This record gives sequence, structure tokens and C-alpha cells, in this order.
Amino acid sequence: MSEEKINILYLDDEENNLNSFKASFRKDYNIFTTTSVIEAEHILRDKDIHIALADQRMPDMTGVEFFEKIRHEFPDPIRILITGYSDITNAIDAINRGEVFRFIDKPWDTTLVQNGIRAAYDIYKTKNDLRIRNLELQKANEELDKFIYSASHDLRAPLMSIQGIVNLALIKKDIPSQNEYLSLIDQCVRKLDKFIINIIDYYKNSRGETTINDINFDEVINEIKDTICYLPGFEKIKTSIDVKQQGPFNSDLVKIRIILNNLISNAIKYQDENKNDQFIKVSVETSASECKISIEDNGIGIKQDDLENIFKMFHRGRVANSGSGIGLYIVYEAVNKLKGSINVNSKYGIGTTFVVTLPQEKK
Amino acid sequence: MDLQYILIDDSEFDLYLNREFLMLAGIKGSILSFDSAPDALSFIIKEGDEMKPSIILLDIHMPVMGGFEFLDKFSLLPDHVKKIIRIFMVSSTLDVKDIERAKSSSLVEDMLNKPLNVESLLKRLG
Repeated sequence: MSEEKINILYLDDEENNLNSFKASFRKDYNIFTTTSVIEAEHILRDKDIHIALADQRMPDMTGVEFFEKIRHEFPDPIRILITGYSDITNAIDAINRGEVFRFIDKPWDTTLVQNGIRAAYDIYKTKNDLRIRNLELQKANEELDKFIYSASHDLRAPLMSIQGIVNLALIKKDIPSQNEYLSLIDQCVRKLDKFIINIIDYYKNSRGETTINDINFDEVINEIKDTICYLPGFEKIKTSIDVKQQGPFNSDLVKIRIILNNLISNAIKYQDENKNDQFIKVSVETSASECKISIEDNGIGIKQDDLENIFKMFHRGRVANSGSGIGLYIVYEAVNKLKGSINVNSKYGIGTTFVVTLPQEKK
Repeated sequence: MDLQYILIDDSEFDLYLNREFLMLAGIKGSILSFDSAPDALSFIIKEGDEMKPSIILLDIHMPVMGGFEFLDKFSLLPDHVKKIIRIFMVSSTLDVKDIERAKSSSLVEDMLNKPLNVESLLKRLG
């Protein structure tokens, strides 16, 4: 943000002042000037103005009155008053009514103006950073709430199932029953473990730094294939993998693995049992600037009213066999971290296609 | 007439477990399992006036239709059907809001924890 050019609005009834201001500072800042209050308001509306300067002595409205007028609709720009004469009454008025950050005396001294603008921009930036931090904090809090709610159910449910099986095993003591109970406990443990791995993936992804690796998509997909071929129903599905990788591709391996693993596992999990020609098509195409990953299946598809919610944390789709609602959320977050995009196209009963586009990272 | 037990839970495990618990406790009467609430609801609607006096053990968190949504739909059934069905919610949740909601519903007789303790259920049934 510090390298971004500072956007400045300058309102003054004297055309000469505007021109000489522009001449002195246009190399350092983006400057928008006007002699009209109405025009100034248009500029505030259309441009992302960081600092607003106004002359105090204008025929229709004083600078302080102008600041007082715009303060509520445009609270963000830091206000600087330019004035040829300043006494204490004016100063008090400017600070109290116009919430002016600084005064600049006319005729101005270039260094003082630059210092004033620099200081004003620091304030602007600090306020803006604070707002962004607040939003992040709010999001973190919401996630924590959801996590606690989910922990009270998704983390506990398999444990309580295990507890129930143990209770049964204590009553029915014959060996065949015991063996059956052990295999049930095994399934519960796996389910719980998968959930915990997902949660950890998520926190690794959202808290961890992005590290850049040289990605070999063939390798990554084959690795994933090795782990998912044990998923139930895998042998019935015709999988085709098509990787067209043009040269090296730099991105974060952990996040790419999270994205591919979740999307491919979902494609396997949500196959349509009634179809004979179950398929998954994974295709990857890279260029110098980006990669495009597409995962298509002819599974059960996603219902229309679920589509807009599938990327939300702990949203569980309205299908039997739905997961804990964290997989796609993690995918979405990982794509965001990599500044990519994800699109889903799905028809209930027909199938689903996810398309992920990720930019090539600079090494 | 023997009571009919209707188990509604999206977890195959818990359906199996609860059925086993009920059978081990030596209950008389049949046990029906539904892994989705809409299926259970259409069963009740289809039975209509033929519906037998039943105990429903209803899970809270289910993907297609949750326990509370099921209750909303159930409340629209004719009174003479509702009168012969007693509902217990069964969940592993520790969420206070869910527990309060279950306990305060006029349709729900009680909220039971997982794993199900059949003895205390049978005591409640009298």
C-alpha cells in the first residue's frame, strides 16, 4: 500500500492556486482539482480519495463548512485546510466543526505541504489497516463460534458412537460380536481423524505463510490418486487425468494439494450409484501466467439452493452422506490465499464441474 | 398393543447402535430405522389412520432435514396422529441453544444424550 500513489482532492476557488499546486506535486501524487463544491463531491464519490484539501476562503462556502458537509458521507479522507490567515477562533472552528487534521499556510512551503500530506496519509493508512484488521478479527471470531458449535457436534458424535459401541461390547461378549464392534470403532476413528486432519489443513492454510514451490502436476495428482484409490466405490469409476503442463509452474504445493485432494475426493464420494458409466475427468493446463484445473464428474450433482452455500464453513449439503462441511470451505480459502478463482457448475442428478484458476507465483 | 419404535438418524452407526440397545433391553414391538427425516415423515403420512402408537427417537443434526425441521413438519399432522406418537430427541450435542430448543418444544418429551441409555428411556416411558 505504501507504494500506491496517494489520491488528493484539492478544492479552491482560485484557479491559479490549483494550477500551481498541480505543477508542484503531480509527480508525487494523483491530484484531482476543482473550483466547485458539487464537482468536489462527485470526485469524492468516484475516486478513492485519501486526502482532501480545501481553501478556507471561498465565496459560496468556507473550507470548514465544506469539510463539515462531506464529513458524514465521506468520513475516510483526511482533511487539510489551506488558509491565508489563521487566528485561534478559526483554528478551533476548523478542528471542532470540520475535524481538520492540519493547516497549511498560504503561500505554502513545498516541504511543509509534503510533510503534511505524508502525515495525513499515515493516518489514513492506519485507520484503513485498522478497519481491515477488524474485519479479519470479526471473521476469525465467527469461525471460532462455528468451530465450537461444530466441535460440540461433529467432533463429539463419533466419540459418542464409539462409547455406544463399547457399551454394547461390554454386554455382548461373544468373539464374533466383539470383532464386529472393533471394526465399527475403526470406522468411527477414521471418520473423526479425517475431520481433525481437515481442521488442521484449514489452519495450516489460513494461518501459515505461503511458500512457493515448483509444481509438477503429474506428480501431485498421482500422489493423490495413490491415497484416494482406497475410497469406497473407486474401482467402479472411470478416471481420466489429462495434464498439459507448459514449463515450470510456481505455486504453493500444500495449498494445491489441499485443493486437488478435496475436489477429487468429493467427486468420488458423490458418485451416482444408479449410473453405470461413473466418471471423473481431471484436467490441468498451465501457461506462463496461470493454471486452470478442472474436475468434472457425472455424480449426484448439487441442489440449486445448496450451490450458493457450498463454500461456507460447516455448511452441510442437503444430501445423505454429506460431510462435515469443511472440505470445500478449505478449498475456497486456499484458492483465495493464492489469489485465484473457483467456479462450480452443477446440475442436480447430472453432475458437477469445478474449475479453479490460479496465477503463477513469482519465485 | 405393542409400541412401535421409529429411529431417525443420518448415522448408520447410531441407527445400528440404538436398535441393538433396544433389542438388548428386551423391548416388545417392532423397530423401524430411517436414515433421513423426510423418509420417516412420508412413512408416518402414508400410514395415516393406520399409524400405530409409536416412540420416535429423533437425531438433531441431519443433513437433508434436521430434527427441528422434522418437528415443524410433524406439528402440521392431524391431532389424532400426533396424539399416539411420543418424540424423544437423541443427540451428542453440547450446544446449549440446541438443548434448550429441544427441551422447550411442546412436541418433544425429553432430550436424551448419545450413547442412548435404554433403561432411562424405558423408565420415562413408564
